[in-house]
Amino acid sequence: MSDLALAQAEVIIGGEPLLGPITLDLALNGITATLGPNGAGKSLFLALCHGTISPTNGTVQWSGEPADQNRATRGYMLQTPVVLRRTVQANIDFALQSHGVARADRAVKVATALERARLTDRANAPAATLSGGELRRMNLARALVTDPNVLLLDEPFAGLDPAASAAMEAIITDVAKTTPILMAHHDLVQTRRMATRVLFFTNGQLRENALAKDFFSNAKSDDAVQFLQGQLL
Amino acid sequence: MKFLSLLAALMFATTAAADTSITLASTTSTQNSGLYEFLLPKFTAETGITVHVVAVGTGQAIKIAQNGDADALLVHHRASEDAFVANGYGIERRDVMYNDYVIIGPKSDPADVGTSKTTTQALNTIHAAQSLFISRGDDSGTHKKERELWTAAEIATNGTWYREIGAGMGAALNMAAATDAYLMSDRGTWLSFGNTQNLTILFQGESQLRNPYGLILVNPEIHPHADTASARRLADWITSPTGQQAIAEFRVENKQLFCPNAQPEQDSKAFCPSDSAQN
Amino acid sequence: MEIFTTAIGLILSGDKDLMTIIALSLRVSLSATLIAALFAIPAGAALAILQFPGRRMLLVISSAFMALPPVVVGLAIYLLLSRSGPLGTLGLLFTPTAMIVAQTVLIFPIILSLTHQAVQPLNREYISLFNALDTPRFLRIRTIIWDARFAVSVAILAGFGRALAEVGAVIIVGGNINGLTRVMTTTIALETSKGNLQLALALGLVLLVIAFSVNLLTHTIARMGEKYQTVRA
Repeated sequence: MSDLALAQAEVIIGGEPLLGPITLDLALNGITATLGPNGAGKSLFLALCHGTISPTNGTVQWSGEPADQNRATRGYMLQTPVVLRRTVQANIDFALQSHGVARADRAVKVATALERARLTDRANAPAATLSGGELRRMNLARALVTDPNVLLLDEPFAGLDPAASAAMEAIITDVAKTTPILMAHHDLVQTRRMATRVLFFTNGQLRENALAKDFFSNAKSDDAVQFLQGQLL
Repeated sequence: MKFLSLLAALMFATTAAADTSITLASTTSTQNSGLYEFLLPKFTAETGITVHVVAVGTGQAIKIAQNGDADALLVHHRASEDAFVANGYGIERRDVMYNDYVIIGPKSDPADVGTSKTTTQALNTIHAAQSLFISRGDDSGTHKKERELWTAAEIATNGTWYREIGAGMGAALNMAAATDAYLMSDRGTWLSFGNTQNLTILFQGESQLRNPYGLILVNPEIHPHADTASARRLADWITSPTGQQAIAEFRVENKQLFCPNAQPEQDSKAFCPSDSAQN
Repeated sequence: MEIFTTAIGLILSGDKDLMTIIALSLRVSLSATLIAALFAIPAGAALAILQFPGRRMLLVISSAFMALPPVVVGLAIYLLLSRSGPLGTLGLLFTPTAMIVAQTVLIFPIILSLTHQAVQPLNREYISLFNALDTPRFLRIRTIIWDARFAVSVAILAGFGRALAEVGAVIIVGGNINGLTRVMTTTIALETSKGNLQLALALGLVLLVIAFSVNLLTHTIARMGEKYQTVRA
């Protein structure tokens, strides 16, 4: 369930074309990062891939099935963490409840996810008391706990201080060993370190689809070149 | 499930009642006098039948009986009672008792009602002085009686001095007490009224102010579910010497309030309020 | 001052009639609250979650019904339950059951509207998570009700307070029958009409004490919810 296929997929809202048309065929492996300036459509692309936004035209499919029908096979980490008014543990457990996992099986999975996200000691704290970084990790744990085939991470590092950022990077890198990740990110240095593949967007269009090392050493499009040089786009 | 059955039990439990009970539609004035609290337990003790009294305005009481929501009707407006029977809603109307109405007003009596010799005269003095008069205005037996008196006296009551409040006797008395106004009240409510302030009886005792009560059974042909048998037992008892004696024994502020008149040959040796000009 | 001593004297005397009246008041209003809440809470939450034509109109109608004078509700129920009415064969008129029915109808829109108001903001907050997880509808409804449980409790208590304090509905469908359908509010009305103002006020004071306790409970519960509310991130 990690074969992503977009066929002329585009998103038009209120008459305004926001994304695409995009045609893409990708067997996700390791960490695929979507890069681009703000407003390029990285997050929108992620939502489109996950199926929470339907394409106005074209199709989005995972291993042949439309994206909005197999959301359960993927983990999606929202850009702004949603905090349920409960403990951290209950927040993570909620994902399992949503997928109809039997109560007996849930405790173990939650404990595992907490550990991977390094949140075990905060398990019983009200989620509302977590710091920004901890909330992100809880968000990640919630995406992980359902044993997804693919993980979609929307700006997992946004607003994190260096320590929290380093922790997040370690966790994500670890997870990527077993689960392919599609990640929206804005930091060039970190992406260079972490990503296997890069999808580069500007103005709602996919400009480049390349292996990370190729992208960073030999970007083809003008936009990409300027972006890599740190120019505003 | 346990929760649901508890809920059901809570909803449908009724207070422990005697095996048989009937509903009597009656008026607030009768209820407020305290007569039923005195009288009905005697009936229940003798027959085992509990009487549930729904006390509302005369108009509403009649409507309730008409709808079949009561088994019997006890009100005090002859014309309405006769209409009720004539229209087929009730059967076996009987006289039960009578009391009287009194004209109440402030002790200072600015309209000088106290010196009147007749009801018409009393009303005329109030009208002439344009003194504040509170009318129930609720189509009750009392209110209908009051309207009849004004009509008989040929007085037009449209004016700011005449206040129709659309409420019960107690509310009217409260307002009269608060504004030092005149009004017509049944004696029973007046005697047991707790907020008299400056009010007092200024005129009473004329035959025009008599207030007779009638008991009617709800017609089982229209409302077959009505417990006519038990209602009839109540009617029989109330009009029997026992019941009539009990009515005569009923006291408010040590004064007899109702005069039994079910038995035409009844010799009311007992002092009956409406037969006297003094009280 | 006399009112206070009368009131305290009344309560302490344990006067059987008074106790019966208080017990009936509580029984009628509590039952009505329980039943109304049972239906109004899920309905209020469902209205927040489900999208269907006429949803907005339903909300407007429900809000309007909140303003229904109790006497109008009483009249409507009377016409329904009267022997001459459609449900006459049930023989429910002038019984405590009829009073419970009338009060349930009276407070249902209150609990519905207040529940909806309580859960609506939560739904807005949670919806991105619900969509990401493809959470089933029933679970969504249960989740927002539970997470808003403190505000929902306040809605329930508001309904109870309204039921306990009303007189118009119960007096019409109950008949204020001595020993059977007489409650605190109808007794106060009765004593007032008899000019026994001191007694009426004293009873009113008793009612006030109960209402005050209910309000205290409301605030305590609302404050308990605060620890889950404040989000730091």
